[in-house]
Amino acid sequence: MNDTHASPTQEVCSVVVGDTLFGIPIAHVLEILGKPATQPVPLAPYFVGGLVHYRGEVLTAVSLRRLLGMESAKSPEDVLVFENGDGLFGLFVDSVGEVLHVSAADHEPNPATLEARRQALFDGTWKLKDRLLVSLEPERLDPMRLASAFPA
Amino acid sequence: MDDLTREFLLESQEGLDRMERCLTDLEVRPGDAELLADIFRSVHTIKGTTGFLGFSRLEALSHAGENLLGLLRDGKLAANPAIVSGLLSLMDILRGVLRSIETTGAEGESQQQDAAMIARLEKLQLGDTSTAVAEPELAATTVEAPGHPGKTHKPRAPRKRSHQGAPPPADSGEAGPPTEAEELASEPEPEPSPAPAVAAPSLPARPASESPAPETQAPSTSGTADSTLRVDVELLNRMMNLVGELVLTRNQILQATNADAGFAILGRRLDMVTADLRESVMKARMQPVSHVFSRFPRLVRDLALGLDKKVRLEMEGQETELDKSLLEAIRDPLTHSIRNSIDHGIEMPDVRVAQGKAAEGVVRLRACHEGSHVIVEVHDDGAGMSIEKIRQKAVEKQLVPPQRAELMNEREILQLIFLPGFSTAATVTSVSGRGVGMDVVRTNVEKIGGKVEVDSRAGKGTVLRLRIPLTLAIIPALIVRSRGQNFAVPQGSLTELVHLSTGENDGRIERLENAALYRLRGRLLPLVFLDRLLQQSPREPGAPCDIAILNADGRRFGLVVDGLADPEEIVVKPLAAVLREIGLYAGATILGNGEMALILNPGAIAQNAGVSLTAEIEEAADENRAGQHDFLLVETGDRRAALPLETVVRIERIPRSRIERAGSRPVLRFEGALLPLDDAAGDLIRQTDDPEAQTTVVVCRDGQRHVGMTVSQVLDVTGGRQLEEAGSGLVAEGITLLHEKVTCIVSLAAIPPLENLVEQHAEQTL
Repeated sequence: MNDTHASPTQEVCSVVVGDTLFGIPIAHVLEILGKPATQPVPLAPYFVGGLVHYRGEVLTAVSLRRLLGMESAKSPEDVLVFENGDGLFGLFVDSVGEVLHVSAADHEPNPATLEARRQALFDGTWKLKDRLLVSLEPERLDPMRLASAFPA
Repeated sequence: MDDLTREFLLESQEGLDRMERCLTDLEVRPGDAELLADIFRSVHTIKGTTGFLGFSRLEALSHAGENLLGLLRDGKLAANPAIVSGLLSLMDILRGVLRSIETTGAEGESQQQDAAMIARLEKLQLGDTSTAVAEPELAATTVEAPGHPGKTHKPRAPRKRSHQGAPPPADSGEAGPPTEAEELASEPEPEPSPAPAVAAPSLPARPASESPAPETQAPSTSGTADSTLRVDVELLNRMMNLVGELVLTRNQILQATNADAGFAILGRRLDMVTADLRESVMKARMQPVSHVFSRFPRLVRDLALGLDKKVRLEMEGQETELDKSLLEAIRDPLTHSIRNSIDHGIEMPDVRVAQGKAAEGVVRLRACHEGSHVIVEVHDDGAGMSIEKIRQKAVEKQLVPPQRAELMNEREILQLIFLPGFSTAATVTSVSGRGVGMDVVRTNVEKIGGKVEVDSRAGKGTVLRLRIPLTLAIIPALIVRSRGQNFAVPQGSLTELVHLSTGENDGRIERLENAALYRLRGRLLPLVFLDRLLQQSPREPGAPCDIAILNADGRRFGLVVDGLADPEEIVVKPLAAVLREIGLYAGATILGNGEMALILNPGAIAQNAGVSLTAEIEEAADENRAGQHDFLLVETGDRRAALPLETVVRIERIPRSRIERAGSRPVLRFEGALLPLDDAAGDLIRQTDDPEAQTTVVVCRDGQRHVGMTVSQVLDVTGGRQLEEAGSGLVAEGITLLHEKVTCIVSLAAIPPLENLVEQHAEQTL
């Protein structure tokens, strides 16, 4: 599409959590579950939002809100399904938006002023025309990794 | 690794397994030609394929083994323990190399070991003085190609074609390869027409060249190859998963269609097909226990030799089948038990003779089906365990208080060997009996939902009985609710349920400092509150609750929950590692209504709450001392009746619509079989318009059969006292004293069997 640019473009799935717009490379997203039924897990690490039923498997889903220390969502959330070494896992987000085309040229690393936890979670940001799109790498959201990287 | 190599590894493993079995048999029947042929074939197959795949180490080793086996097979040498030992160690080396190929793709290097092994085998060949010297060569040729003296073919299938076209002289010369190529190229043409012309010269050659094939190869493969298929375990696991899904969907459909008569029939059909399919897939995962048993002859032999004992291993029920993963899981506990039997059970030959036993001890391995379980027994006729010594030791180790130990009966004392503290090395040697890691055996078996029992007579021997469920993936569970969330409790650890209605729980739940206790039949039972354990929002004090009384790994406690839902067959889904680490959950599942539930791990909960192990023993001792029978107290219509607790299999709350009629008799399809129902409550006669009406059915065991009884309400489980007739002192039959009231005991035998039912039905239709 943007053949005039020298830098490659990428398709990202945009999701909203709170007031922030996040982008996740579409290639990593296995499936999007619209407001599925969830089951909380008592005593689970704080970042686990609950269990989600996905094609006969029971997925552990990470809550981006909890991970970022935000209040729990008031309404049901959407879930993105990712694959990791261990199997599959889910990610709770407020809502899933459209697929956006972003150019590597518009990408900038995390600002140094960003809080440490977010520094570790975010993979820089893309500058859209009217707002910022924070880049998320599913790899960094793997529950197993989170458990060791961000103990409670 | 390419497919050919993988196939070869599988085949070789199987060959070696077979060889191991045969070798130990060989010691007992040294002259058995069939056995020898079988062993020979295994080695020969390995050798043939290795040469082809270029595994030179394997080839050299198996060649040496084959030479020795050739002599044995031809009767030029008789098998003796030295030879069997030699062949067994050859097998070990071969296994090692196969393992190395499997992991690294290469054979690995061990020149010295190989050379020593080959030298050892060669020496064994010379054991026979008369003819052995010239034999090796002869033996090798007889095997490889008796029809082609001096020719060493690589085993390749299409080769036989060349014999057909080319007369014998051409076959033996240097021109072999080119002619073969020529012929293969021109094959389509000469193949049909010259056949009659060449028939005469080629006929004598053919039987000679092809006869060794059926002799060495065919019997080992052709018999089973046509009717069986190797299937990747992964695929089976996946199928099992999908069937689990189907079971869930079926449950959902059954719940959804209960109301609709038209769908109900379809639903039932789906129910049956699903049950059948599930059974078939489960069968596909089954393997005979011989897969595990087969390694034991060797183990017994080596152990006995090492300890200078004489032990014979007898195996029974090897064809009994068990899920593959379970089979793997019992391998270690069984090995452990057998080792114990030989090490600690069986006495030295002179001791045995002095005691009037045969010098040779017997270890008997037995497997059989019993209901939905497989029983595996390890029985030895050794010294047995001394009850007194176990008692002493347990007191010494402070595992039980002395007063309690005095009151325990033999059975309870024997159970003490499973306590973890009992299995330290010092204990093992100072107590005459066993104890080596018996707690480990028990833990491993209980991990897969099984049970271990032990029975021992001093001087007579010991029986260790493992009770293993047929399958792991689908388990019956009770669904409980806590603060609006579902949890599944495996039925295996559930012993009974107690309901406390509003206000009642204040009085009946007692406290000792922080510990909550419930008085169950006069004994205090520790309680664990699920909401508190899981740090959920606390429930209102005084709200009704249920206590699920659980027995996990010998720990007995009551789990307090908000309420109970129906029992369900659930499919266990694994949890992600981060959730496994919590330790209280055994997995998750999807219920019939589509909701998810976490599966609780009763053992972990008990441990977490600090419930002690000896509780179970106390309880058992208590029950036995009282000498009472336990009864399930039920209300049928307006009467109270007692059902002997040991006969009660299950209490089910089912929709009325599930009860069907055969003739005039109500029947219920239960776990795939037909259950005759006794409508004691008169529930079924009363007409109802409510399609969702439910009824409670108590499923009981009456001898071999199961029967069901409808009841209005289940009241309690309680101990009943025998009543004696005034004056005569005779025990009154059919009645008992429950809660200080005379109560009739239900006679299950009075429920007519189903055969009658069919006859009745036939009469009626006539």
